[in-house]
Amino acid sequence: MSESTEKKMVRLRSSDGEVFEVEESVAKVAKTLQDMLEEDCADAVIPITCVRAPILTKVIDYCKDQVMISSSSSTTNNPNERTEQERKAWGQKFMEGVDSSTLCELLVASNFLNIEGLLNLGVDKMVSMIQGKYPQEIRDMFNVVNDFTPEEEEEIRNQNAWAFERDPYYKKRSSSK
Amino acid sequence: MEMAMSQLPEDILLDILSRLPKKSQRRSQVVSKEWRRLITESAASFSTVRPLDQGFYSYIFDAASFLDEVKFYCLDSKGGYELRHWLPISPFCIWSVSGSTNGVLFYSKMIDYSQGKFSYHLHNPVTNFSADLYPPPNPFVSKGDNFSTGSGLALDPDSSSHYKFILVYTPCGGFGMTRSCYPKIAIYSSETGEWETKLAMFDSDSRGLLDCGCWSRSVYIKGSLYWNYYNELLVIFYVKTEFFRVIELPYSRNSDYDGVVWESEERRVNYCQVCEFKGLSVWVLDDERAEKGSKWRRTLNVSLEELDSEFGKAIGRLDMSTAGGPCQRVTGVSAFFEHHQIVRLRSTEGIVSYDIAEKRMSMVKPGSYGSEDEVPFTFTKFDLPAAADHHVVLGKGRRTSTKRKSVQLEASDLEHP
Repeated sequence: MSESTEKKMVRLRSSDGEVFEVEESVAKVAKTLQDMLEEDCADAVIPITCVRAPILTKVIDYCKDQVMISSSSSTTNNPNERTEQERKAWGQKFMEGVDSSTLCELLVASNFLNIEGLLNLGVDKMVSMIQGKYPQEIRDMFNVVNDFTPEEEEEIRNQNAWAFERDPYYKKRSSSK
Repeated sequence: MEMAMSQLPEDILLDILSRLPKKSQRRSQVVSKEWRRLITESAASFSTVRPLDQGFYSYIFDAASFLDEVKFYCLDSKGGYELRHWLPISPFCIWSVSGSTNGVLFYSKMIDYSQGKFSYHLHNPVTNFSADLYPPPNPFVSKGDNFSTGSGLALDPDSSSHYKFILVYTPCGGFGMTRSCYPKIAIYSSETGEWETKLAMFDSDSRGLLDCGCWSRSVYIKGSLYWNYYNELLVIFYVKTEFFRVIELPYSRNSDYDGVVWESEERRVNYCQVCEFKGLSVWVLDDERAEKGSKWRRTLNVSLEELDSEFGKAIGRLDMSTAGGPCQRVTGVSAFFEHHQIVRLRSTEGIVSYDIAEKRMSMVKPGSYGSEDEVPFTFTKFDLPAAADHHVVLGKGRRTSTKRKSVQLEASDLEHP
């Protein structure tokens, strides 16, 4: 009995040196960490080299929530259990206010740590951010450099004219003269 | 802050881009060379995993067996069609398949021929929810029948768990006679479970006098019902205020071709029509209160020559330039599936589908179009589970609620392997 009350803790270190102590069950939500822990390197601090502290905090929040849902699911009448809809709403709330660069970092982190649920949330969020935006807005949002020549760009636009109706950010080269 | 999109692993970026709607994909091609390459790649290797959102009902009446059936199709990611569900309600005796809102089908049955009494029925093939509505008699006629000129279902699972069903009554009901009148409306509210009949009110600057007869199928978009009135006018009914407004359609002349009012991807009103001389056009309703002429904005045009030549290829007849006009021709638009960039067209040879991006037409349902009819529908994005729950709520106390949950389609069922 005493063994189960004392939960095993794991320490994670972010790329900027901050150390987080979390329960083992929380860390194991990340498949990458699960594999590591099963190969037994529990005492040491696990360095997460590509994830900054604020991002790691968010990732840990997600993992804690996953543990909370699943830990009590074996008992009947679990108050934490969510319907499909609630899950969706929770995911939306979790991603609320996340800006594009944080989102990129979150995606990289969940990819590295192999957390499928979080990765999916991130991809959905990204899709909703890109959808309906004009190319220039997308470039601004994600720091993408436009490496097309104006001629090339205009040709692609002409090929798909229906998708570009009324792009307020685009001026044809000839008209700008 | 220092992280940029370019640092994302390629497979994640590929996943993101492949989940975008077609229009966004096309647009995003000019973001950068990298994006263009990935989008081209994603189009080739991935099928879109967007959940089910568009499709159509197909109504078939078999005159020989006297059985009618309604099939439920959804568009798949490649723009093809897939049978998703059978809807075997038999004996069916459908009078007319009246329309569909958020995927929920509504149709009418004649329940008493001698008195001209109809009942209306709602059906959601995903949840198997159904409701039977028995409207009050048409107040214009003494006999007690309830022929109606137009019908519409207002249902928005995003904002409310209730629906309203609207019938428009005129003196000669649903029959083809034309006589101008101020219509009356009967509204059923699922909240109260009651019908209410009242005189139709019109916004001050729109004409209140409409010919009776049979209005087209209604389309429900964001709180309003829309009817294409003889390809000439757009009748709008604001469900909340219960006012009507009538405005001109962009190509406002009595046309041979049937146009369709449809919901755009941004949940706005689209009007899609084949016009004499001009070909296939899609307009979007910018502002219904604007001055004449600036209400509609054309967003797409396919020339008649192109349409004709593609139609010729689709029916296997290469020369469409018959003197005196070909008798084989496209007769109207049935639906415009904006996400898939597909227009479904009726023709003398059956139903054809035109892929705008690929510029290709294909025959999807050969045959004369009399015995078979289609009711296309659109789900607003991701509201399928909401719609499903909604119907459990609607089923108040009926034994439909618990058991039927199991037949809900899961989003994963709808994805392609």
